Amino acid sequence: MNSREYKEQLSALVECLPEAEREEAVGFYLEAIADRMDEGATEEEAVALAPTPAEAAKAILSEKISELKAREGEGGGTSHAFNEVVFEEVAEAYGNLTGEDGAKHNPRGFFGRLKSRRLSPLEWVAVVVSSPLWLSVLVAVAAVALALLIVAFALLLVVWVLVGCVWIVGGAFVLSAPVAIVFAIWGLQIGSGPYSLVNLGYALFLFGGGMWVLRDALALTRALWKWQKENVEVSLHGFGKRRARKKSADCAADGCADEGVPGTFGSASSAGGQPTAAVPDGGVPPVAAAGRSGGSLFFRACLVLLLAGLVCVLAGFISSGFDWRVFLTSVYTEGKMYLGGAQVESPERLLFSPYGLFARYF
Amino acid sequence: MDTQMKRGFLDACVLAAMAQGESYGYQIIKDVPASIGISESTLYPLLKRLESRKLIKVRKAEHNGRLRKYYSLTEAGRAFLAEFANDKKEIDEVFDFVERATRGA
Repeated sequence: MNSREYKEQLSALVECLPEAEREEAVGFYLEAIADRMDEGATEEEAVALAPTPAEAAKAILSEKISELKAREGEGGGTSHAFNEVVFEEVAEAYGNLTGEDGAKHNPRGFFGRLKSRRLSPLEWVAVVVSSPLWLSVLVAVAAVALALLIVAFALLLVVWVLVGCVWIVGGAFVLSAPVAIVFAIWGLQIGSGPYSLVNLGYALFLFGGGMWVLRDALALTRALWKWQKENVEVSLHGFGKRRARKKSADCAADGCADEGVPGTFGSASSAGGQPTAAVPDGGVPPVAAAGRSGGSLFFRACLVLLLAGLVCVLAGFISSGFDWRVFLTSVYTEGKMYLGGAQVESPERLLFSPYGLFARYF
Repeated sequence: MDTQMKRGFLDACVLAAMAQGESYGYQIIKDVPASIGISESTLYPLLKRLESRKLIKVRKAEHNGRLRKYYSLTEAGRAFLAEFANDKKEIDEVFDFVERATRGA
């Protein structure tokens, strides 16, 4: 056997370990083989002097079992969850190697033995006899879980639709701004300064407000997508149990923070005049984070546009002598076109004039 | 030597192999007295336990184009060895007692 084959065999035998631990353990044995080769042994000799892959795997897994037992003794939520998953797999692999019953190393109760199919014959009989009871309870629980899942997805869909509405509102505002600019130009063309000013105000207000709303929509979409990726997918895997448990085990083994408890998606919030955004619990509100990284300049610009728009509208209204008709953008009736309450003498001369269209169809 | 007795001495022997400076797995196996008889399978879990008890520390360094792990004593490891050496008198007393008793038998 050469060292590559040795590595492959040993890696396969300790496959149940998280990758980093597996590589570390296998690396220890390969290192000794390499050291023997440094001393002049051939590769085959060095491998022959090393413990067999089975012996090495037995030592590695035995040590892992001791470590997990020690952790189990320490208690604690995360380490306990980690223990159970890895323990089960390590104990099984150890049992396969040594021929010893994995349960000997695993002091779990009835449900633990049931999961690993290591019940005694009497317990199996009890399970079968009581099946009408627990099976019906199981079906009921599964039905409730399914119903809750459907409700959860419906709620999620509603949230996505609401976010979509925010996009639509923002988009409509921004797209309306150029139209208001055209009206402002028309105001100039017909010599109505107040009407022009009011529509310029509309344009500024719509553009500033629309950009603000779009930025919010983007933040909301990102936050919702992130939350969905982090929580909904994990929850789905939870139904297939093994992947989620494996992820948590790997995570615990890598020493990362406990992600086992899915965060909840917070409701929209607003602080300090900043736009609102829904954020996962414990996270940094996306919009607030954006504000710190240059986003505040964007929102300040939007605010200036909004205020400028309001000022223009007010100025137009005042300069018209408080004539409310300046707020009427355009009216087409009986072949005549009115802008801000005043009839347009030559409507066909207006920029991008729709007069011809109106005259043909209305 | 009896397995149970060996087990008691193993920690001290492996730690003592690092007393003069850092060492690596294969070197430790060679340095530990043959009477104790240690292999990689014994040493690997032992080093892991000593590391988790913070009696030794580990660093990786390149050697001949590959990474090798070097183990060295921590202060706690040195204190453990010193304590073990202090126990020698008591161990000697036990041996003397057994020896005297066996002779008298």
